[in-house]
Amino acid sequence: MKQRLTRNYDCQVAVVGSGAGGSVTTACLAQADIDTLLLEEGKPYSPSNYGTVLDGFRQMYRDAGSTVLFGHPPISLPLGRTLGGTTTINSSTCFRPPEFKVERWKGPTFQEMVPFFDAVETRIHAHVVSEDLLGQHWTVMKRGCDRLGIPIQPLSHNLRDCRMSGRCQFGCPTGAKQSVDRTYIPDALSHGARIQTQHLVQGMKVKRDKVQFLHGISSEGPFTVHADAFVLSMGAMLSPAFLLRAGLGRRLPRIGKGLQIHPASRVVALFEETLDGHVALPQGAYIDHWKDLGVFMEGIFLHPSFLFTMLPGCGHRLKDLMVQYRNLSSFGIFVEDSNTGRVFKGHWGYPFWAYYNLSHRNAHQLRFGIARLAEIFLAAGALRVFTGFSPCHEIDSLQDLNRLEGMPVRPIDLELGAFHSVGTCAMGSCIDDSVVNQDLKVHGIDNLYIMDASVIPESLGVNPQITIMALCLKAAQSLSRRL
Amino acid sequence: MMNVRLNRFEIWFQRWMHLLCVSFLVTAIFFLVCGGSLPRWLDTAGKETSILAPYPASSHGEGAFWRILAVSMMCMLTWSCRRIYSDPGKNRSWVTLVLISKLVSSFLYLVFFLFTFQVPYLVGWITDGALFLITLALWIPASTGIHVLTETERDILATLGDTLVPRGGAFQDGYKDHASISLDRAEDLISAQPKLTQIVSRLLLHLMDISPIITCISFRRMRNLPLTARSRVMDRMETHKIHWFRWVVFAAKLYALGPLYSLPEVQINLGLASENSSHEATSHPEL
Repeated sequence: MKQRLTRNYDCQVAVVGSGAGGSVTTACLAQADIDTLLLEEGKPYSPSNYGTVLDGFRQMYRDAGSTVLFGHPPISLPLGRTLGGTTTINSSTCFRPPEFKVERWKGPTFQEMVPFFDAVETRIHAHVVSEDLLGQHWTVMKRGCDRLGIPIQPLSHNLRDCRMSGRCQFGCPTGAKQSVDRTYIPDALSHGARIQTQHLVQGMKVKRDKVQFLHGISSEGPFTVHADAFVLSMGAMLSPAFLLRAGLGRRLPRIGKGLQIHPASRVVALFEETLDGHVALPQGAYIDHWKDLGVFMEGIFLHPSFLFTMLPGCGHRLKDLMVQYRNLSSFGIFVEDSNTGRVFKGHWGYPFWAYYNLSHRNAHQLRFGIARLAEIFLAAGALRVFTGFSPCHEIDSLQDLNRLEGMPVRPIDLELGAFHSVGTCAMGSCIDDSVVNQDLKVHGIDNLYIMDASVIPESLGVNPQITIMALCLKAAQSLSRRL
Repeated sequence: MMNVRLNRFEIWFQRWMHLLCVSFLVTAIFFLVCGGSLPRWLDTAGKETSILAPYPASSHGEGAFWRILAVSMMCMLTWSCRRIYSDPGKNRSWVTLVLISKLVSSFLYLVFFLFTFQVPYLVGWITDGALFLITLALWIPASTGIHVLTETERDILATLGDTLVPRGGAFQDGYKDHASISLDRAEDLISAQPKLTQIVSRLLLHLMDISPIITCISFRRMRNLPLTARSRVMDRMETHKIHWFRWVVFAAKLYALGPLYSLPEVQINLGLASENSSHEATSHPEL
């Protein structure tokens, strides 16, 4: 058998993971003339080879979208695995974090973060989108909200020249979405950073208070990485699992604990008029009218390949709905979770295992959100509304809505997804309740940093990409000054 | 024999068959030579404990009669394992024979043990039950060969697709009109999952196949039911109180409808432009 030699990379800083955290960090370090190597497990894709929606799902989602948080009930958690990470498959929604949350973290204050929010938003072209991009879908939602006196607003997105392909979550085929593979990664490359894709980092050697080297496997064989500093940017699920695999669990008891997500569900509605939701921005608008109750709503429209899986029934009944695809509208709900889960190191080919139970409080919040959305759709003139609440899948009148609201709620009755996982390597000052300090350096290890969503101590109640990028930009600047 | 290209799961299964082949052969010889004394030896534990009952000695003639049958069955199993070992893909029907043999024997050993509490039945149940479980566990990942789904599983998925999108009605085309390419795309999708998830996905398909029995609608498998009965089963599963059943239907919809509606000709049926038309060149820099 042919002996494959171990390849060795030397650099000043090695960054593992090219998502919202890793790419910003790499670009910032490269701009400071630091020899930086970015390692990414996935392949690079660009608009010319995203392929169909199903191809995007298969190629760019981790495990073809089959990642699940085990618990009661199990919840699917889509994660990206490609150059650019989850930013290539998210809905491009941009929010700053709520000020009161940032203030209670043991990290930088909101005012200290403002210049970094500004810098990130400028680079990725985050702006409130024009109503022209929202299509008929927006018109009916606005109509329903206006009748009920509920404010609805267009969302801020990182877009440029959007052509309304309607498939942000499967790779933007026109390249309009300014995900990090089209912004920070080209910046990093132009400043001399090295990027290696299809390089899976499997472990690291830690000796006392220093990381000696990383090791892993690439399509060309095994490799090692020696550097002055190491940055883990693998996301809130993989970073803690990697640290646990490296044997740091005893030293840092908080690793993997405190997982928070945004449990989410959705409502689909059938209208008499043609809406053509597939030729508009899929996640164009939001309703934060009930944010004090921890309930937040954002538009979500999907390609028929996926939207039809959410419609009830089969056979000719389902076909009758399918053929009215252009008359369908949908909106999503997510809630601030009141429970925490845990990430463990993975086995049997899985990089991590995760456990999360949906609380009864969150289940009630989700049912409340479903009911409010159904009410908005009915007020807008929907003929039928299909919910993600199994005891009452279909609603076509206010009587049905009252029936839904009167039903008991069990977490297992909800059709759920989860997004925006955070909190598994929380930032803080003490080793008992955090993993990294406010510079995102791992407690007790001199040259190891974590720069991704895992450092955010709690769920934000809004989409987290701006928060992740800004925190990592600040920490990367701080690191570049120290090197 | 060894020029057949196998994946690692088939290689593990092949090694297991090799081991079983030798074991069954040795067992056949052992039964022939000293099979009559076996229950007596196994009874040692029964005699030592007051909980388990000893196995009563049978008359000489009856023992020899059953021993001949046991030896012939061991020879048959040896031959079956030898055939499977030579080419697991080609001789997959022989695996069913080995599995049925071990399932039936372990089940009967258990039943006899529960009625008599005699040690040899307990030993037989543990031995054959373990052989059955190990063989099944190794066979599931190996059974697809270079593919992700077996022909049976493709057949189940095609049936589910036909149940979800039958021909006629709101638009003429049904799943059957695009079954081959949809099934290939479904296999592509499942192949991108981790191996254990792939096995779960396949088990979900089998669960859907036996869902008429689970929902007490029929004692026939999904594949053998007419369309109206299949629709009734799927509706029952989708609204079932047990959320796992609803998940199974969701998975079936994903694997059937996802690939089907990624086909441009099917999208056109819905009045949509093909996805490919939106893949325009852009002025943005490519990596």
